[in-house]
Amino acid sequence: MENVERDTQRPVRMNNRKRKKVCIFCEDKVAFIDYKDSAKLRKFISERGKILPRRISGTCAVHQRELTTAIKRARQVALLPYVTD
Amino acid sequence: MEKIINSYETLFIVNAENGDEAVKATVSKFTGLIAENGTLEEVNEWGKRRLAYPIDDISEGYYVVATFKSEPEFPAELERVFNIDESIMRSVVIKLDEKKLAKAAAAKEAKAAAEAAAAAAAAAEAEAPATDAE
Repeated sequence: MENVERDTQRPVRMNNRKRKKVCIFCEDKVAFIDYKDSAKLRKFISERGKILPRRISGTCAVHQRELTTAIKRARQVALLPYVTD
Repeated sequence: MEKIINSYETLFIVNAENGDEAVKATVSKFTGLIAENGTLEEVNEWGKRRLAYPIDDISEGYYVVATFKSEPEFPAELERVFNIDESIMRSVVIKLDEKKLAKAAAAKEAKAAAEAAAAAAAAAEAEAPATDAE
């Protein structure tokens, strides 16, 4: 926030791009990520069925780790696809 | 030594192509097995569901989720029997984190309490104008 004055010198695009993402799971204060909730997990896989990286999904490290195990479990029991094309 | 009792959850998919009777028999076989070796807590039958991908060219399965408490030796045995049974298409057994379970229960309770409070407030509000009118 101290940089605000200095930033005004630069073009605006920097401000637009730097929107901070907050981890959805932290925000909701979920106790654990359920592998059975396929509707929710679907938001975190790409169209091809790949797990989205943190840089895109914006989840924190702790929840990304939990999320990947949840997605992998869901794949095992055919709740989520391994691949889609 | 004190016995260790953990919470587990299992999800298994029963082949639904052999008819409802066969499905029922398999489900009761496994719930029975769990009940014998631990305490069965909740059985939730989701029923027939489309699989995300076909397993052995079958695209539908009968999903059953069960939670239970048992000694740590039992899940391995359960998995072994799951793998032997031909009518089980897929199965997974996971250990539930009791701390997280407690947290989830507490959060649920808090939410319910908040909702009840909100409902009570709404009811009180609804009542208040009525008393004013009198």
